[in-house]
Amino acid sequence: MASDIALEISDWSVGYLDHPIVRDFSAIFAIGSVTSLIGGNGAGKSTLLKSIFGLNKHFSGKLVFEGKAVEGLSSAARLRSGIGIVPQGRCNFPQMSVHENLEMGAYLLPRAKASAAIESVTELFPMLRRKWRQLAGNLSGGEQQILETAMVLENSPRLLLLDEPSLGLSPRMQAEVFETVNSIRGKGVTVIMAEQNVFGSLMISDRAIVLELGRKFADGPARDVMHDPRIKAAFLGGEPVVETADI
Amino acid sequence: MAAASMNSPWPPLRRLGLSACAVILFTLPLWSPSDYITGIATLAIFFAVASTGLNVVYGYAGLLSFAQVGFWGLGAYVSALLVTDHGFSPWTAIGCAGAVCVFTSLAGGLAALRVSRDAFVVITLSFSLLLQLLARSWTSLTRGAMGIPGLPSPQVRLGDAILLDGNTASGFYWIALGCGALVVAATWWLLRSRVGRAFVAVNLDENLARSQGISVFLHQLSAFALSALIGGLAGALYVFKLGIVDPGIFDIYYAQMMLIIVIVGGAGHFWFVLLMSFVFTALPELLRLAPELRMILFGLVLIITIQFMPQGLGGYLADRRNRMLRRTE
Repeated sequence: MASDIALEISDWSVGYLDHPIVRDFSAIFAIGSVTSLIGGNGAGKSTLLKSIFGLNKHFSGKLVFEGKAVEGLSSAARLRSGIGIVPQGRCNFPQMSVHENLEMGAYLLPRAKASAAIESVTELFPMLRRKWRQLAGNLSGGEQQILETAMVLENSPRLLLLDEPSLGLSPRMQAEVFETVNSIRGKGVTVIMAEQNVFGSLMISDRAIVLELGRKFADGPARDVMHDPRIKAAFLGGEPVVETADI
Repeated sequence: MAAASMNSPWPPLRRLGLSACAVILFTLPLWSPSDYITGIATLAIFFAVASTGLNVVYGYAGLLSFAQVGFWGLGAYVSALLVTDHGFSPWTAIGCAGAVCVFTSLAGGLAALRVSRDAFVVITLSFSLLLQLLARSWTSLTRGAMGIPGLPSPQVRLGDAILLDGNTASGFYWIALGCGALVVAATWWLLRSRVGRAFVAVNLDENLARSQGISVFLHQLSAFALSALIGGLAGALYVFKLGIVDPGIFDIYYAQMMLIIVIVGGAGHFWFVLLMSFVFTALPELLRLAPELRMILFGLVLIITIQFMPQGLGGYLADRRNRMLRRTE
């Protein structure tokens, strides 16, 4: 059923300058699903995510979001249509205040809607109101994480692309990140994430796609991929601690 | 590069300081001991406006531009030519000069902003040097090194009555102050708006800005055009104070002054850059230094600033404030 499909990618080749990094990639993502992209360095995970948001060069292929072709749209238009991305690393402007960061998060919304979106996320995360005038760079790691989540939620994305969301975080913070992803999925948002913590991401994912040198190497339910001996050997360093994913 | 801080240090103190500065500036010709002092203050206003333009593109949008002196000179030549050759009034000519500078910056920026930030610096420097060469060599239009003399002074009229006469030092000062205050206030308003914050966002992290749907190219181009407009308007009015325009208007001295003012004041720190405009215009005059010695003094100040306050005075104070805030939390 087309109505169950959030995103359809077919024969997708993308990269930088004249060099395709991801080649002939095809996949269909169901509404409300969480998909992990797995692969070594240079496999094309980040490139694929960026390409869905229109941040790199598109060579060929189709990208259909909620039944509409979006491959020709600008990043701003894709954001307006309901696709959001959280790039790798810290995703706030450290020298701006919490309020200014939230304003940037809602930059594309009309003024009235932007105010409503900011109001809505500050109700969800009251800490933001308390730290309203503080510089984002002065917040603790956890508070910055909340700010970044709020910035993403302001645009009410229906497809969320997460590039290494747990990179550089402590194990406790990583667990909080995965919990947040789970709660976002609970709202019906489709999530695609590239994650270096393969085990952690597979635990909350419905599906996993393995990339190798820019091509799809494996694709299947997360728990199957987790038990694939080749994946275990390459990314999990042996047997997973928990036998079945608790999704 | 120092990124622009949108949180100004000590707001109440700043408000008080601003009010005091406004009163001093507005009444300056009334208590100034001589027209010479009023003339220096007028020059400081021009540097304040032109440096604000550079601050927009360099301090806020993060693009080091040597084109500011080019737009300053281009504005000066356009307004002078429109007044002398086409009979425009100074005010209309100034408006047209601003429009020409915006158009030129958009045309040039479309190409220059597609290259790296380093290449952008070289292109803007070449642009200013090319304009200076044209001013010297295109004698049929610019009259070459002889320049275009005999420019009238602007006046502010109400019907037949002359409210402000640019022929007098105090009259020109108030005209420059009024125009400068308008431009500075409009720029401040814009920089405090979402668009101004987007300039800073693009400067701080291009990828993150893109992910928020902010067009990096469009905002860099807008900042470049805004700086061109401000520089062009300042140059266009300045030329009526000189009464003549010649290729010296593109002199590297003006570019150095603007850069030093922005670097020492703190790139991206609005009020400190304005403050430094007055300091750097008044200081050499107060010390009665020869032009060569001025450059030595400026060089020393620049070295000391880079050594001890690499983010300029504004950045240094903002940094101290942030450290204090972190300690108290």
